[in-house]
Amino acid sequence: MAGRSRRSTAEILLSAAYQRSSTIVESNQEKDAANELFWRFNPVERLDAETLRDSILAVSGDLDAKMGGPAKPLDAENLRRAIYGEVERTSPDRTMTLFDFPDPKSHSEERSVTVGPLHRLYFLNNPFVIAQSEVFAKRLEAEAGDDWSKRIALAYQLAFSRPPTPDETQAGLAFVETEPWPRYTQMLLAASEFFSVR
Amino acid sequence: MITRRKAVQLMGAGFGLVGLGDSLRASSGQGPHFAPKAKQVIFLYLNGGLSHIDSFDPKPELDKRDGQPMPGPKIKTDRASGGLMKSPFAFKKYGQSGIEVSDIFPKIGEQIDDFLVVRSMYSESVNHLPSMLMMNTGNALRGGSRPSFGSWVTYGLGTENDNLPGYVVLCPGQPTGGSRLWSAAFLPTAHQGALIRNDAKTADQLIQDLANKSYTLEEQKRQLDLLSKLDSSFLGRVGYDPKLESNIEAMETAFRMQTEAPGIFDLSKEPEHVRARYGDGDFGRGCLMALRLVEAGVRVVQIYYGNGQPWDSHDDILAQKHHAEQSDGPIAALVQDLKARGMFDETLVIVGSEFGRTPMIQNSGTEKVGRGRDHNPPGYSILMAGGGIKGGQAYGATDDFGYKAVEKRVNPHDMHATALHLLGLDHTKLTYRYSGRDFRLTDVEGNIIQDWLA
Repeated sequence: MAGRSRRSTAEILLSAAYQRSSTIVESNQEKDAANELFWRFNPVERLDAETLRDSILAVSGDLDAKMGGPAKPLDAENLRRAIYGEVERTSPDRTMTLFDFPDPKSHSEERSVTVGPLHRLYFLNNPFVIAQSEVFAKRLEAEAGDDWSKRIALAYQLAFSRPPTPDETQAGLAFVETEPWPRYTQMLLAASEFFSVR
Repeated sequence: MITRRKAVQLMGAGFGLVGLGDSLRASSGQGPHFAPKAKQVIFLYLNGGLSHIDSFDPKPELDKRDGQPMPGPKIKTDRASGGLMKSPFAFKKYGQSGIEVSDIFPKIGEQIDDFLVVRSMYSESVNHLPSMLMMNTGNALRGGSRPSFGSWVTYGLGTENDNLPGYVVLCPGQPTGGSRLWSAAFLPTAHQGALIRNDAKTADQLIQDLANKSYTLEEQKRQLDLLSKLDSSFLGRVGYDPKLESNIEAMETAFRMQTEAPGIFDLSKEPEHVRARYGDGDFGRGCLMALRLVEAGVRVVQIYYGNGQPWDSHDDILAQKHHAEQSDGPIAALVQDLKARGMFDETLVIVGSEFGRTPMIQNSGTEKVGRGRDHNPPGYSILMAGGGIKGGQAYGATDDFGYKAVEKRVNPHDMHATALHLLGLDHTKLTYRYSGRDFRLTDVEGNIIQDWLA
């Protein structure tokens, strides 16, 4: 039985349907907007707690990818991957818990995924997010120079793995005309696109 | 100084980016199916397992047969058990109804004419998590979580205060099982419970990241205008997705919470004589917060008594006395204040846990004191009061020892069906299509218990 379920799992994971992009193809969208025929990947799930934290650090350029070594608390100074975070059984990290890190005292065969106002407050106000937004903004300046359109293009490539549309570039330029860059990069990290698997 | 009025003005009617009418917003409900008795729910959850036979289900037979084996075939319990054990607490009759309550809940006793005492609950699983999931989601299976009771209620009715989550969960820590107990699962995520750890005293400490120390609200508003453009663009690219839509609404709520929440959670706004009756314990302060939250229009408030499963008295049943001291006064005060503020008739109050405790002493190698009781899903008690409930009655019965519900047996599905009924929702019609079929809180079960209705 186990062998059979492994084989069918492999077949699903290796299928063209499973590996599709989430991008909308207009002709398909007209025929099957609800994606009942699986012509594209449904971009719904939120990144899990560890991936989310690591992604923020990776995008800002602050991630310390060193392997091995002792676990340390996942505070704002800790720039290592979350897998090296310390897990205290009786008081797990509050941010990790907010993003559904499982109860370390019981087993968990599946992550639940919650998204609500409390998660949004994190992106709005958390000191780690604000600090990383500043690092992200500095990275854009260092790597893309004084051409603001180039900075925005780089930001989209880093945060969303795609170029911005002309409208998105325009919205970004209009914003940074009057607001500091870190407030712009913070909203890229807060965007639904950033924490959706797609 | 940013006032709430200013925040609401800044936000206007929301970001308006999705372009849907209010009736289509994920957080607005489907509307009741018929005129409701209750508008909101406060669910007080005593996680771990309230011992029914030491609280609301007196068993004189245990006094007579203390130490003797329980008659009949040996019952298989989760851990080894010994003979019957009488309750260390005395019961006495309270109120007009003369319902017997043990002396660890004297204040609920004095209010007992407001309560329906259900003595014939039964559940399936002997383990905490499945039984907790059954009480909270109507499904004991862990794989593939189901929407919680509170999520179904807000899905059905929406909320009345857009500046706060519609379903708030309070716990000093996290109960066993965590967010699965208040998950919206496949319902739009706007209906999921928002856990607020109530082991702190100010809103800033209670709610992580509630305040921004760097930017003003106007600066944030400009950020969120940008964000709404980014999110609209994403939504346009991926097509309609209720989860994403919920997420966009959640940002609006988050923004408004920054100014709304500090006032609601500031218990010093209550006069001293009110606060005194709730005490300074986490659960007591939680009950007072619950009162203030429903007053502010939050649809469902659930309080988990403590971190993990504090009522799990395997070692020493006297521990229940300590927990009762923490909860008896606040529960009674909550009922009194709901009445005093004219909200009792429209607020459904439920007090319960995942199962009861065995009439037999627990007799395994783990205990130190050796005066504990094991888990008892075949029979346990819950309390209900308020909106549409006929108080002052004890309903159903367990056997002579309190082991098994035998008269007028009811299960969590019946409790859910009846609670939804009081809220104006038909549990057979409150459905959500997912994975190719319609799902219900009560699955294919659940009876509305007419005797519970006022």
